[in-house]
Amino acid sequence: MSDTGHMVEASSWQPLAGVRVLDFTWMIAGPLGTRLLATFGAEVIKVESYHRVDRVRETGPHPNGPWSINEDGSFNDVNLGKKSILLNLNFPEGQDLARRLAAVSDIVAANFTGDRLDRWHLGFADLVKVRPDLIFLNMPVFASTGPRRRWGGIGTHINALAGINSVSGFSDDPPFGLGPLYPDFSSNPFHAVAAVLAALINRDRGAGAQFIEVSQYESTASILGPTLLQYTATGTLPPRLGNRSPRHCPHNVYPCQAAPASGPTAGTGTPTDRWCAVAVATDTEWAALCVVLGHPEWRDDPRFATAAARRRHEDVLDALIAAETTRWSAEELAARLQAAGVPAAPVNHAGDLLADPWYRAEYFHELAGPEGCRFAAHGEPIRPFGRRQPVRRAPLMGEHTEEVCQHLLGLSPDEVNHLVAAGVLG
Amino acid sequence: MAGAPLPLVGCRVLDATDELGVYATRLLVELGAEVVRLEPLAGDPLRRYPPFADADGRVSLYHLHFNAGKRSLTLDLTRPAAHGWLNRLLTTCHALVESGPVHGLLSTRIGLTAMRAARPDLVVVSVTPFGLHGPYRERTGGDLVVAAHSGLLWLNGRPDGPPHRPGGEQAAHMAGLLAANATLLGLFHQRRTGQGCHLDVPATFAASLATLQTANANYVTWHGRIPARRGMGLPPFRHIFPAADGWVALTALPGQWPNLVRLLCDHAAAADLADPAYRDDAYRYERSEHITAVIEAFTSRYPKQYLFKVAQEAGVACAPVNTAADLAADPFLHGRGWFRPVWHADLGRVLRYPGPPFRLGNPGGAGAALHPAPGQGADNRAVWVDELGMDAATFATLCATEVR
Repeated sequence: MSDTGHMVEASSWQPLAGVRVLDFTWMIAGPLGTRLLATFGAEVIKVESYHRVDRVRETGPHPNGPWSINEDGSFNDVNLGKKSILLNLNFPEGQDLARRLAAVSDIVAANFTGDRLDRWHLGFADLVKVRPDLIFLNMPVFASTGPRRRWGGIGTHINALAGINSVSGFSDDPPFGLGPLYPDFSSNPFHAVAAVLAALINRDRGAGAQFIEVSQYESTASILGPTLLQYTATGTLPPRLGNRSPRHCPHNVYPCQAAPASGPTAGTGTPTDRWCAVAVATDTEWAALCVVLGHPEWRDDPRFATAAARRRHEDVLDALIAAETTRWSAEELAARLQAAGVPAAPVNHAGDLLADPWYRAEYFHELAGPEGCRFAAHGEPIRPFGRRQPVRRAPLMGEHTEEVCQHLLGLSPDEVNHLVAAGVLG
Repeated sequence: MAGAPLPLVGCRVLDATDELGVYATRLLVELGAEVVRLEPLAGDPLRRYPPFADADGRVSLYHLHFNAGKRSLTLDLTRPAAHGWLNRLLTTCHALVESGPVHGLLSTRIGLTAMRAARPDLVVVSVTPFGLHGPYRERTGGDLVVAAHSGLLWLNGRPDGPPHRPGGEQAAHMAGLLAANATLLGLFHQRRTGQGCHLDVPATFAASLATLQTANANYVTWHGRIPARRGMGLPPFRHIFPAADGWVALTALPGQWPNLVRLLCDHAAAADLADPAYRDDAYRYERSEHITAVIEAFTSRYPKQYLFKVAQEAGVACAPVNTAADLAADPFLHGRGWFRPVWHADLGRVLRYPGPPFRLGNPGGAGAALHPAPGQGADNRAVWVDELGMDAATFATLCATEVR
């Protein structure tokens, strides 16, 4: 990991330089999207308040010993490169300052319940009056208007709603879904930002104000495309296949040699189970797998002659393979299989990724946090010209309140002090 | 603004993706881009992927979904003469999105320099399992391999059972989502500066984003702790509960505890949870097993749609665990016109496609009108001959395919 500090490297690619985002989003689904905008050059002003502290400042992980709301590992990751201002929107003066900021912003983004900004008089209709070419992104769980505008939930509920639980896991388990709050990291931030970026292009071609609604339910359902189309076209619901595939075989994760129970990263709950994913897509790959596992005779077994035959005997085949893989280390098996042309990978966990020299050099960033603590943060997966995009640390809560009020709104230091004392900037 | 043209109308994108990146170009269709899919003479392998619309496996719904709204060109790239025609096509394209193993990428086979000579401001987005430059660059893999390597797969499943990938090829979807955003960044930059760019999107890095909170890196760096799979919920409270007719996800989020107690009281199901002592977080934490049992006794008595409605109306985060059948029948999605009927002349029937991921113009605004995925080489004549002036003999050699 290299230390990128607070300054953007001169060589970094900043296509969004000059674009300003007034960012009301909180939790993960909104902020991870606006993080991408910040990383590629936009000035993202995160609106915070002690009256509604972003939950992700508190959910962890936290450093050892006493910690502050500026030291949350997840918050500092999803808010890289942003500014933070304190603004209590329950005050009319706070709403007025927000409108003045919207007037000098290209994009306004929010992921509250559907009509929260409307109730603060900061809805699309209010803000286009002060910024006629505004790009306005609203990300309700259900809808901006209508009877479900105040219904909500987090990634867990959206996963369940959108049908992802119903296709994940093993058929004899309850459909308990995924470990991560998956839609917060995938469909919702990145559908939203894609629509915003397209709107920026459109605005340069003369489009006026643009409203974008990302219903997080619809957005997440849309990445279950083939499953939904299969049902509407054929009336069939696919079984939950675990790691198996309807088109290839063998296609699973197989147990490997357990990791030592102690080690540099051993600690509470450190798991020792190891697995290797193998995804054979062709008969050539199947033959290569047999050779690597020391069973060339499997190639001649009629039960395994074609993908369809292997699928018919999948339980037997998986058991045969698992009996061999337990003798291998997951990393060595994946490397040997890849060298033989078989798609494979160890099932990595966070400790594996942080120990991987490539991930350390090219993906994770290590940053000095706002209060001195050192943070590891995920990098942006988009690599301009094959280089890792530099990032800047996340802001302290309210770190840029004074700067933004003075430089963007033209308030005097006295006016700022007055608004702080009145609780408007708080 | 309703009915305004989609934002990327007039923008042409050459699509040379396999299943790892195909969602990127599918998403660009939703934004109005003209996506031109390049197929070998043998046809796009995605055309043969399950699930199928018909019993004999001729009509791939995988293909129909991911290639809806696109155009199709074929070109025999094994013939050197094809390269010049590809570059001629590139002069009309704003972006190229490609995916697959590094050695199979279109830019690897043709050469980025030649492509740039044809179109200096071209945006090139390359999606590979493990990046263009790293130590694993020669490795291959699709959704399962990427989900495994990225740390995403590890997090799902029972603590005492095998881990599993998310259903619906989510690692590939994450690669596609990031690649679509990369393309849009490149197009914006192209528009403002006239410059091209090459954006490298390792699918494993894209999928690793999903581990950001549950398996945040600082659990490891600060505490030496590796987050494990955790089965049915966020500790200390389980979040998947049985309903009378299925399952619901129900969580007492911080601040919603009084709402949950009210909901339980309204159904005479609160047991002792109305005791004010339970308002204390630490007190609840110590009694999470009991609380879970009380909630389960409540949810088991009612159908999931009823629980969803009364919980949401009481201000409790709750959702039914839906199947595709539930979505297809959901009055909310119907009321918003989410599913899109598309007439398939070749099948003689309408198929209902999943709706758009976003609404442009106004709340509940219509998504892109969707056209069926193209037949193989359906746009060959229009593009190669009529637009780019390919002569009949070359056309017959390089492009002519039996149109399905």
